[in-house]
Amino acid sequence: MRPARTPPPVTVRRRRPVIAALNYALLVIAAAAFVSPIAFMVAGSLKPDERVLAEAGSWQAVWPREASLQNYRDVFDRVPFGRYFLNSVVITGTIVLGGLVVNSLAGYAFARLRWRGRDALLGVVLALMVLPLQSIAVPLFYEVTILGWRDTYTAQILPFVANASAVYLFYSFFLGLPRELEEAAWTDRAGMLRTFLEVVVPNAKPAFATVAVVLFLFFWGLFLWPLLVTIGPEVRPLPVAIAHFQTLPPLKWGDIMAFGVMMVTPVLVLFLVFQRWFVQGVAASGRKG
Amino acid sequence: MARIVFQNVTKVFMDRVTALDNFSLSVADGELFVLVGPSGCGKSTALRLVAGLEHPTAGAILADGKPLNDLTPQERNVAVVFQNYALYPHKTVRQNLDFPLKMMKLARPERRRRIEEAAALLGLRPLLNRRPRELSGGQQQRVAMGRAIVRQPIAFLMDEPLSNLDAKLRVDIRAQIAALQHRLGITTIYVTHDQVEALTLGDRVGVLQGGRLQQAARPEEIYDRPANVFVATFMGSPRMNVFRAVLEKTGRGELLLRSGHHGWPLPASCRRAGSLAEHIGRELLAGLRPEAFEQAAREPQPPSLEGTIRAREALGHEHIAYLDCSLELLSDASLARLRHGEDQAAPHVGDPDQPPPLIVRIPAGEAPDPGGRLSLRPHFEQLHLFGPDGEALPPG
Repeated sequence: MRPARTPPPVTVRRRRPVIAALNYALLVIAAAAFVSPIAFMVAGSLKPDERVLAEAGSWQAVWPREASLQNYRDVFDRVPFGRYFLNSVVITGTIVLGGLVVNSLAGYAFARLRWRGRDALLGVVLALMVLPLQSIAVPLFYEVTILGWRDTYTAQILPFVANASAVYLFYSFFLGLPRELEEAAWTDRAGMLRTFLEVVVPNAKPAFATVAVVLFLFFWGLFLWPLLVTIGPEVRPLPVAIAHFQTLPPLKWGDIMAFGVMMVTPVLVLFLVFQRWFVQGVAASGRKG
Repeated sequence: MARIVFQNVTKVFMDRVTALDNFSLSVADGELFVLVGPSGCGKSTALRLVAGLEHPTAGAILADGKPLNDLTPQERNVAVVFQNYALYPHKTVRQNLDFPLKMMKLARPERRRRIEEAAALLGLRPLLNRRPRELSGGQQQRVAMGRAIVRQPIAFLMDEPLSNLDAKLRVDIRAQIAALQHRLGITTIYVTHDQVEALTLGDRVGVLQGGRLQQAARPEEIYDRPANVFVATFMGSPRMNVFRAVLEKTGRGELLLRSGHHGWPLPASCRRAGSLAEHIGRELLAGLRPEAFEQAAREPQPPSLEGTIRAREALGHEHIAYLDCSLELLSDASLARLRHGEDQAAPHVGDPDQPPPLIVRIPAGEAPDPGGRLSLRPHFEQLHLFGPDGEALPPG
């Protein structure tokens, strides 16, 4: 596949002004619906605690008058936020990096190698894609307990490195790459792994970016599983930590908002940075399969 | 550099499609051998078998007597130039040329030397730091050639390397490839569907059809002495006219070619005349190329063939005329039936209600408009004769 370098030109259509105005009004309302919770959170994190709920009904809900970072300081004073953040970074980071390696190799094996049982196993991978984590959480929990992995990073990382959806996304992307590139590399005396690393991977950046973003988004916010397997704060990730923080008296909404802002910021930054590749990858994965 | 030999190679895809059928061929060391045939004839498969990108179902492929069958593409040291070039899009031209050298684990100065050499040879110097997508089609083609050359492989395998270029560029680069190959002297197998490319480029040409080698010979021989009706009609454009005819012997011992109500005495110079005795009275296929006709005056002697012009194509220096005449000409469909065997349904070509035309080359300015009459004198010294099965009659 040759990724499109330039987006198709935007067609400008002349509409009657009334209809255009209605269109924009609809778009503004929709955008407000999506943005307002985030704006509410950011504004709330910067206000004194008692004003967060008091002003919730007015326009000031999304506009802090005298902004201060006191709530942020409070979060760090009340809980080991740095530890939680580090836990989330280690766990999600390892899942993403490990997932890129393992799933891309698996996808390549499905797309390009011939081996006994390949098609049957591909069917299994497809079936696994629709299986929600909740449905296997209990047996998985049992397994982790037997292995003595409760309250460890391992229990939060290892079950999720191999990922059926990621395998499938890589698989369909690799199918779309021109085979001649690899054949050229083989006749240029590059071995299988060399060909994969030097020829396939550099031409599959959109797929890698997509998988990285999707895995990151999912596991950064994963709540149920770490709630099951973590006990103390040592390996507790952010989603469990914020839930725990809410139950920690005294109840201070400004602090919770500050916690929330710090938790969401990496997601927004990452998405903005990888947005272009991400969209390409999703578009490409839709083309095959 | 190596001699490449196919020994009874058969390749069947998915137990159903036979791409090559008991294919044997020997390509000499340093030779530029062109494999030509219609699409689906198995020519690319033959190339991919040498490269190790496919494995033969039966038979062996040898390089200098050593079997290649069990070697991976990496171990064969052949260089492939792909139809779409398959340049590494994320690498610069220099990195593209360097990749095979790096894989050979050559020392850096040697790699640099070889890249410089190839770049100078192919005029790639100013392009070395560009990426493939910043190059024109012709430049990409030269980079693909360069990537093959730096390797100093035992053989070049070229799979329709010019088919993505426009006509003018194709002619230029065709000449460059021939010059380059003769200069380097590396055994080359060149695959194309273009019969002009085959005839102009090849030291020898192999015509492939239905997975079988129809004929392998020097270009002149392919054109002048085609082994069967397929080779005769595939090589040459417009194609050879083929018509049903019968040989007869006159009372004076002359050979007479009879077709429809025509009867022409064959000239003594017809090189097959000596061995034709056994075919007298048999139904044969006769072939005359479009250039084997001369426009004849109606007087003083009556012309030996007359026709009405159905259509005409002006090529500038000459015209191609399509004539309705009384010869029993074979249509494309019946030619296809001949090569597939009677049992198989032939692809339907052309208008079944219209008899196939006689195709004739005429110097510009001499051709009447459509509807006009044309009088012709066939040159029977250029006559080709085939048996009813389409095989050429053995020469005398």
